Amino acid sequence: MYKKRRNLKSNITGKRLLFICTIMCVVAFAFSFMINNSNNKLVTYSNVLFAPMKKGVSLISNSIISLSDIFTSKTNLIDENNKLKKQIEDLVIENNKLKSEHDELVSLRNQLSMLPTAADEYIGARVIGKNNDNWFNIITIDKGSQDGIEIDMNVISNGALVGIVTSVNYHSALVRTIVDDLSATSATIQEKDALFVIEGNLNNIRNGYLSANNLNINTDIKIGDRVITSNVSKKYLPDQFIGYVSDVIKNEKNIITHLKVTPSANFSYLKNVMVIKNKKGN
Amino acid sequence: MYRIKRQVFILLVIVLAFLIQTSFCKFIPILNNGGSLILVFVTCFSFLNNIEISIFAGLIAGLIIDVNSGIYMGIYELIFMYIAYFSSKLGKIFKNDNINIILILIIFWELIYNIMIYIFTFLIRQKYEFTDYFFYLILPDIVMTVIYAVLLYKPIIIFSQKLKSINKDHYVK
Repeated sequence: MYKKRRNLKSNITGKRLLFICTIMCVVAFAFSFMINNSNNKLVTYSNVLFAPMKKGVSLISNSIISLSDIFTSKTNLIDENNKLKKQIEDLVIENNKLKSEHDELVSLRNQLSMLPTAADEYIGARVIGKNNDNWFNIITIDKGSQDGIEIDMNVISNGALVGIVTSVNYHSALVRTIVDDLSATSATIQEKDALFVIEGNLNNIRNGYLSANNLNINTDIKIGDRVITSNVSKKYLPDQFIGYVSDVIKNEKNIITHLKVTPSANFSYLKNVMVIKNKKGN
Repeated sequence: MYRIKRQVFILLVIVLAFLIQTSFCKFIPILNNGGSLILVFVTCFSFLNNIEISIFAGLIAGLIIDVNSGIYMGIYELIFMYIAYFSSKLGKIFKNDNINIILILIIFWELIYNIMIYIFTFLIRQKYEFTDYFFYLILPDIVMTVIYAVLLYKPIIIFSQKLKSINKDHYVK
């Protein structure tokens, strides 16, 4: 009898509790919808606690991955070594060429008495967490407002664009990658006259490419052309390398309607990234 | 005091589950296909416990995800709170800790959870390729979550029994 009464009582309070909590959640949602979430003190303070914990756990996973890397076969390493040697040779040739061109540029600038463009400053950061489900491609990095990171700063990895900072806490920041389904990046082809928007799409990125749809481009674009961010983008700095054109789809009038772009950054194994301190508009 | 002690343990376990899910599994090649440790914990724990503590566990789980995802507050709290509430209700109806019922429940919650994300963030942007999303995102997520549930089911039972024994100690004193 006692047990039954107790059960009944707990049922009623349970429903009441659920009702109260539901109202609280709705109110919290309305509040966070109205005020900017980056000013949310609860988020800021709790992230002070979470950032070091995430850092520690991601260190463990990184060390496990590097342990498994030790057991990769010798032939793979030799192959990779040969490839890299060839790449170095190519880069040395390219570097010499660029050096001579740079000297020319400096002398020409001096003649025109033009100021050199400000060099980009970078903040190195480690990726310490990812989104908790499969639907979004958002990463957490271990540098925050204390290290000088601000919203809308561009993030790159190995010279290729990764994404943009969308929210900042004291010691961590969230970066929305360009392959996220909500991302849209204004882009162009290097040294060619074309302007289009690259959209992240979950179904396309699974096959390894980003897509630009509904185009009307008459320029000659070939597979392998370098895709960079355009000047007209509001948030992305100009001339950031995104990737290469992997497919060009034309209609019957020889006008390009769709482009497939393979991003150069490896989004599934991002470990370290660089945040560019210069922001568009500064 | 004993009540707070239980809540602290629940908080710690959920934080641990969250950290493993977002900062460990996502970097390991096979484990990064999905799977929600938090969902497994909340469902199993609620199935075995009374409604008040289940609602607390659901709230905490949602709060931790919301605080870290940087989007709006309150959404994940609502989802996980209701998951906890109904799991706890069903737990009372079935009374036995039968793993089959828990697994069916977890698959059901995973489906609901993912379809809600699809509707509110993809369907409203006119993305209609649901079958693709289902086979490449939702299905791997469900499979991984079921594997986690099979592995973690016993430890969660032990955990909730330990928590109940904290409660009993109080009455003995």
